Amino acid sequence: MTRSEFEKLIIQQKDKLFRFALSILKDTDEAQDAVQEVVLKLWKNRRLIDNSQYHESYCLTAVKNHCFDVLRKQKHHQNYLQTNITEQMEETRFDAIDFVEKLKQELHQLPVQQRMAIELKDFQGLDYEEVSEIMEQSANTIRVHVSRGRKKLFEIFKEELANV
Amino acid sequence: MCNKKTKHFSEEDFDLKDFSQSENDNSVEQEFMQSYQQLNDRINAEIPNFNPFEKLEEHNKQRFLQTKRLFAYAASILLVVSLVFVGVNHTRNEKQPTLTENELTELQENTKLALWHFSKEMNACLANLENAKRINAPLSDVESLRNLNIQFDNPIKDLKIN
Repeated sequence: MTRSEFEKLIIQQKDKLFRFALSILKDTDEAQDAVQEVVLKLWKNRRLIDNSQYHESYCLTAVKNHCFDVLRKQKHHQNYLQTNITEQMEETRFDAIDFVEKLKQELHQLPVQQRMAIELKDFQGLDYEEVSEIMEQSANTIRVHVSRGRKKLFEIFKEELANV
Repeated sequence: MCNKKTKHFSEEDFDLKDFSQSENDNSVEQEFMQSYQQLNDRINAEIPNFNPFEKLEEHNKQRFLQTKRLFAYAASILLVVSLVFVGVNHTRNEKQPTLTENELTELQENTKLALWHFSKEMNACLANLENAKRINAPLSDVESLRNLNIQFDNPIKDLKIN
């Protein structure tokens, strides 16, 4: 893969990679950092991209692996707890009527597997087979993650609506 | 009706595209789906305009600097080794100076002269010996030839050749 081909691929995938990283890390700066790190890793291993049939899936898998590494390190340094506290504080600032913002908050509160599955399936429009390849889980498991995530979001949405 | 729709939404094979195409009379679900789509749009809108190649560029820059540093280091080592080599060679040349044409000619002349005087003195010695034999000179006279001073007027007897 030449440099220009690589750059073209990354520019095409940039937003998707960022969104996927954000869905795992829940922090814009960290997601941005993760994408840049993954781009560096992908460039170093560009021969593997050549061998891979689906470049998009390969890049998303690389982002997933890197983000999990980041989370593991965060957990190790006990920063993860602090992040959650900050999020909870932010949550109280939003008006209950802003359902979209509420949904966004709730999406971030979902377990990481459900969050990733929803991001890839519903927001990035991948099919179950592609999502299962990226998440390295069976398609049926992915279906369950997506279904449970949607259900939770819908239940919370209904509650919010009832409160208004 | 609501439960049926909700079930439909949370079904595992449900696709968002199906929902947007279907006519839905459930306001809650409709509203939820709208918010869900808006959520997608909002996240898209919030994507910062960042340079994904920033770290790659930094890495390349670092690598270039490292290579440059390595070359400078290698060049300095090469320079030091060359200087040492030149120094050693220079000292060796000083210790073993080459002879000039004139010096060589002078050396040749001196050698010839030395050989000529040597043969002249040897002939004198041999003549003395023959003469002593012929006249039956006493042994003591012949033995005195041993102590014969053969230096005479040899001009190169004190010449020091390095």
